Amino acid sequence: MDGSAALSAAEELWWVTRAKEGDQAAFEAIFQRYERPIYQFIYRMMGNAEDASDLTQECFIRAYRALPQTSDDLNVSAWLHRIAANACLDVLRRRKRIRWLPWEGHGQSELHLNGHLEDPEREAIRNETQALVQSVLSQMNPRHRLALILREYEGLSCEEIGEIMGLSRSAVKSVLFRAREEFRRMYRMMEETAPP
Amino acid sequence: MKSRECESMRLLISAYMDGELSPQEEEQLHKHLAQCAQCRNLLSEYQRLRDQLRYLPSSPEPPPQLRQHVWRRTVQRELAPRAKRGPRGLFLRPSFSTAAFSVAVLVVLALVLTIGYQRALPPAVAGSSPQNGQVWPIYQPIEITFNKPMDHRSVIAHLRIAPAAERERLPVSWRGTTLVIGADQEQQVSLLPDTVYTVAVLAGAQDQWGHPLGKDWVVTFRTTRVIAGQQTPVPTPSQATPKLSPTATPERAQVEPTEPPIPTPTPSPSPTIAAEPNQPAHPSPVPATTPRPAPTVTPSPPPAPTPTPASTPEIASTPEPSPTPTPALSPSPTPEPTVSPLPTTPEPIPVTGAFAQVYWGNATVQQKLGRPLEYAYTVSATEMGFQRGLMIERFDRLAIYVLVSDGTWFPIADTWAPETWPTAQEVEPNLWSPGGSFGAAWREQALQPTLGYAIEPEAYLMAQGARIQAFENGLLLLSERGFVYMLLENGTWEQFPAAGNLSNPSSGSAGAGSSLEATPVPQP
Repeated sequence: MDGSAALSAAEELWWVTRAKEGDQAAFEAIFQRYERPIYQFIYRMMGNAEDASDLTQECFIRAYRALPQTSDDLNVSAWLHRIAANACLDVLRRRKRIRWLPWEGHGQSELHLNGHLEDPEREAIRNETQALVQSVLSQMNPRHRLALILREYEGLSCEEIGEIMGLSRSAVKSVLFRAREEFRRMYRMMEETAPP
Repeated sequence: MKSRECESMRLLISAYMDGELSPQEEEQLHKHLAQCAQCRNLLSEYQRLRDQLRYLPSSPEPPPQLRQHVWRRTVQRELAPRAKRGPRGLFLRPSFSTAAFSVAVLVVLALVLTIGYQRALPPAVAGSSPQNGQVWPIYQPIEITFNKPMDHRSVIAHLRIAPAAERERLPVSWRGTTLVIGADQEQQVSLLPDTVYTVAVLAGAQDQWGHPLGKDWVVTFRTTRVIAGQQTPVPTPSQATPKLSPTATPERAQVEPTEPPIPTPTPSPSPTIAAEPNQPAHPSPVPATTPRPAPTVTPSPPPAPTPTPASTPEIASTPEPSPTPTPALSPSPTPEPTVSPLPTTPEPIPVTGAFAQVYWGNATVQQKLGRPLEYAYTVSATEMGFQRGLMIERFDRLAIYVLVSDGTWFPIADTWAPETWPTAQEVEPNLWSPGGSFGAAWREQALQPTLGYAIEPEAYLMAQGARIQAFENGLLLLSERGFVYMLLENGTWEQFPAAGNLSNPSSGSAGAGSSLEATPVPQP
């Protein structure tokens, strides 16, 4: 959940206070801090750059409008992730899994875990696995997918996920369990049906 | 029995992955795992799942235009004129009913009245973003909204921007009655970071019906310190909050360089980004780095004693005798009132052209400058804009005037030497470590913290030269780039947008037709 430009909690509160009073430079500071993490989070959720860009815009526009009504001790990160998550879920719900945009293969060539080129066969297997994982993710229940992404990519705790998803800690545990089960089941199924 | 136990263990295995088990639950799970291969497999499957998810390709970076899109739909939309929405609502669907016809007639009447009213309304600036003293994001264009449709060409001809080099770089366009600086239909250009801007629309700008604005409108603001994705500054409360009326009062017609927000060490919330000593306060009017104190305001050649005809004062080779001795270098904080005539001067020395507007149009300026000591003359000069000020070199004295946006100025000598002549280097987009004689002075005097970087790669050579007129307490200097600078001997300066045709060399002089030589310093 770490962003590009680090702001201390005190600085962040200062910016929020200023932004609530209509200081546009303060809103820019918040935007600058969270643009990248929010975009990348949405990209993970939606799987393509077009949606990521549109929904990041949407997220910050909603945030801008809602800012004056926020409390003084606002947790900006959780708040923005909640807005972003809701924006994603809205779109996903509307699409009803009818039309999923294919995941883009961005950055695949960058992923060389040991820092050196792998042999073509291993690379092909890895690419195949990544494609499979992405495909599974894109077909999962959106809320399960959200929980899994918040946990595994963003590295958030159950409590933090609960704050974003509006769930209790135990409910988050349950959602994560169901998400893992769904992922596991679908992965197995797709692995079996995948051409050799 | 076993499968039922395994069923309950699955939730625990998932929670175990998240570190969410109590010690008792963890112990219970470990006991179960020790004897259940199926659940051990499940745990390793969950772990594999985690690895697969974590080793997916990294997400791409957000596109650069995202920021602009967000700004356009948030801050900009809020500031956008509502005129667009208004008239649209007024147009009614055609209807033949009497009621609708009556409404239509009323609407037309209202429109006619509105147009009539609009025509009669004196033009003014209704609002601007940024407002005076604000800290402004570099990605956001400057917008000046007028209260009625303006003559675009006239407004643009009367537009002045400091740093002057920015006038050429920033695209200018119109959206309804709003003048947009920094964006047009094709492009959006970022402002310079951490830079003090002054934007002025001069009194001569006209509306569509030829009515002039009547008074200069000026806004001064500072941009954020965002460079290549770095940090934004924390504005001090005094910088961020001023909400001055965007329409300039007559008193605000002058550009006061002491007004722009000067970063001061910011109070507690932002210790990491506000404490840069980029605006060192000069304890004395002439800072310690200054090799020389403020220059004398008299021209190098002593003026001749004969009075000159008023019609062609600057050509006259015999300027007025200077009745007062060469002003002392020490500050003279209490200039004499200007009302009393010069005792020994038979005719008052005229202050004309661009200088006249500044001098005669402003009693404070008259008081600060005192009486004119000589006629205006022209010197060869160059100018270079910086993030927080500018440098002007006058070649007749090889003196560089350093004008800092905190309102202080000081002269330094041109230390040019072929072997030390530095070349300009771009350190950030549109920011240079300067070259040439300005670069040499900038390095030698360690002016980077004070002035910031140069905003242009090369010095601007004033093709017609700089116009200068000396006064009792300082001088006026007209730059070709559209500003008159008032440099006072007490080490402070102010700038005024210059009206009129600046390419006309007689600006700042009396006779409209009197041409100026390259260095027509009054000769004895």
